[in-house]
Amino acid sequence: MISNRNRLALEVCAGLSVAPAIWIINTQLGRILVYLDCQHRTAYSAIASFAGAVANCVVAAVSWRAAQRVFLSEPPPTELSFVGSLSALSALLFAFALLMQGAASLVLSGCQR
Amino acid sequence: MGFLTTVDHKIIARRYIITSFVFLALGGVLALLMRLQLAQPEARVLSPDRYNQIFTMHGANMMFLFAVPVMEAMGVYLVPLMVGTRNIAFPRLNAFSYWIFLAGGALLWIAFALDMAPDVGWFAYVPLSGPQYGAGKRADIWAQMITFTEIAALAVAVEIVVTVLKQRAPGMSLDRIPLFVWSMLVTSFVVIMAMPAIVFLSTSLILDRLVGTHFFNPAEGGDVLLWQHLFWFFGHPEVYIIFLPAVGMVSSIVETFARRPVFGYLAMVMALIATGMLAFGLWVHHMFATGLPRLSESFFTASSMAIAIPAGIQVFCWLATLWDGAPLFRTPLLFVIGFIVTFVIGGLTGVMAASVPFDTQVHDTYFVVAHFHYVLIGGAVFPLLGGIYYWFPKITGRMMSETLGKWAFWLIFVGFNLTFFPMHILGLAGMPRRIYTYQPDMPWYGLNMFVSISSLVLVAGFFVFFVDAIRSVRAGVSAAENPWDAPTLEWATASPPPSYNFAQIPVVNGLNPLWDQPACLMVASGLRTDRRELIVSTVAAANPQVPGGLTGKFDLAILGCSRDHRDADRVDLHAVGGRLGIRSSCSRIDRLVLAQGNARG
Repeated sequence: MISNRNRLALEVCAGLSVAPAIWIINTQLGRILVYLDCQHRTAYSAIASFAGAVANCVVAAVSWRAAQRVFLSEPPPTELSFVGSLSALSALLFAFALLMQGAASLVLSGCQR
Repeated sequence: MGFLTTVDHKIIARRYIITSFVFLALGGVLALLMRLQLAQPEARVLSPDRYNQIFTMHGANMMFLFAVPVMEAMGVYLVPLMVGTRNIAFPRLNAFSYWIFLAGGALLWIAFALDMAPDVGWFAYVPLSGPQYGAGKRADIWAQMITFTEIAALAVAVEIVVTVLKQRAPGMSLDRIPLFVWSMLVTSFVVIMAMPAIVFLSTSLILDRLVGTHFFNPAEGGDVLLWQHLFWFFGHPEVYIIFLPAVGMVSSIVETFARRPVFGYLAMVMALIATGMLAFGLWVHHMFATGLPRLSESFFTASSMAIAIPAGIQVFCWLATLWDGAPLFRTPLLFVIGFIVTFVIGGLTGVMAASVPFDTQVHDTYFVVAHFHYVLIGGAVFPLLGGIYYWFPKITGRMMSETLGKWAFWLIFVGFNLTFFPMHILGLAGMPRRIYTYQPDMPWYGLNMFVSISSLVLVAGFFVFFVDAIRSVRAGVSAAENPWDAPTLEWATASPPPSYNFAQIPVVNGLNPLWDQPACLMVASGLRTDRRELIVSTVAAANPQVPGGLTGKFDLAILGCSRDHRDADRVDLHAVGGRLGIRSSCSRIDRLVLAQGNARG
């Protein structure tokens, strides 16, 4: 079982760990799914990108809420609150990158060379 | 032997900086030779073979022997001082890194002197550098040089990560770390993630060439494109390895000369970290001409555009700081303003080149040459020169000349733009990179002559800078304790700092300790002053790693200690118990250090 303290630490750091992981996985998927998209006329690349963007927004919210909880605790460990805010902002930036990747998937088919 | 075996981070960093600037000067001479050759059509100043060696040497030298080492050297010098510790972590590894870097540099330049320098471009694409087309030892020299210099870079990165995470002064929690230290921390992580790719590449190339493996031989199941993927997986983050420390220098300079804390500290740290991470998802934008699926390429376009967001955040934060402050336009700040102008232009052409259709048109033309010189010289060399002017009094105890500094800035700024801006036009006019000459009927002659003449202005600027630096070391005006009234801890000790940095470790209770506590600075008591004991602190809060708070007394782990402050060369690793507390009375730490130094002769 994860203790409350560890869970809070995980939530605080989620934006700095999970969000870039989602983005880099999607970047790799963009090099793999493109062949499927071309072969089967599907839009897996776009779906993965937008799903990743939504997931990153959720991660940002989780980190932000954790930062607020830390901030309201007594005495407030300011560095944890700082890391939580940092995480939330980073997750939003990676969500933007994923949105851009999704937009690219809508514009291009997987068959173009 | 003391000269050779020193492990004082400041002495090693000074050697790194001086050696890197020597390589910069040598690389500049190569650039001049290329400009001489290209000044007019069908010139015969250099042979095609020598020209190939020279452009390869110029690129490899500037990237591997100047830009990365000098940025890391600034970190090696400043990070321990800024975080308030007495030496860098793993000081012997630090010394090792300098000597192996020097070996790599010597290998490359001795090979050049013997007419056997690499001639395969700074990225040494296969199959050109492979056993089939790369005859002789030239590509082997490149691969071995890479291995040496990248191992050196990795060693320094590890030291900086440990120093920042585990040796910060009590109270310097994550939200109180100076932005330069943040930038070096992020850079070090990028180095640790990126460099193994190039070390693997150089090793596999040597294996292909000397042992007969087939990593890059398609006939035997190898893959030529693997080289490009791996090289640019390292090569693109390399740009940020050079750029991020410069960002940290800019933040330090802007803050000091605007007379106010940097606007948007949180956003700045986020931008640094996000840039470091996004740097690993852009590498394919160097490979748009290789025939990958367009959709895959567009994913990298998207990330390349996204990285403009953190870069933009940083630029706007600096502008806001200057806008809201009372800027003093001294030489370091002039270089920072020059940086903002040139880097924004380089960033804009970067966004253009991130677009696949545009990149396909300008790929391997002088447009790309112009773009990356704007990013690398504008984005890194301008801040570095500003940083040298800013920290010169700290390193030498003497000021550089303001008059010569302004001359150097204007000559470099004007010379740089006159030299490199026309290259955009040359590229759009179709002039390819890496050609050693061109025919008279090509429409490139006039601009090439103009670029070559302009490069002399740039050289004059660097000449003034070098003259100023050498003159100031010997005859510069003595610097005050904190000549710029800067807020960070490196100015809380004597200039130049004693071998042990701080006789008393400072205690931090704000982001700008010397501004927050202008009259006095709290220091930790209980550390021995006859040995170089260090405080090992927690990662997030920078509390000494013991139960209890900062008040009162508690046990202290000791990472390293020297037998004598005056003998910085002998650092032993111990884990010993000690006692630490906070002095209740405020004491000027610089006076404490000076008193300590005087007492010890």
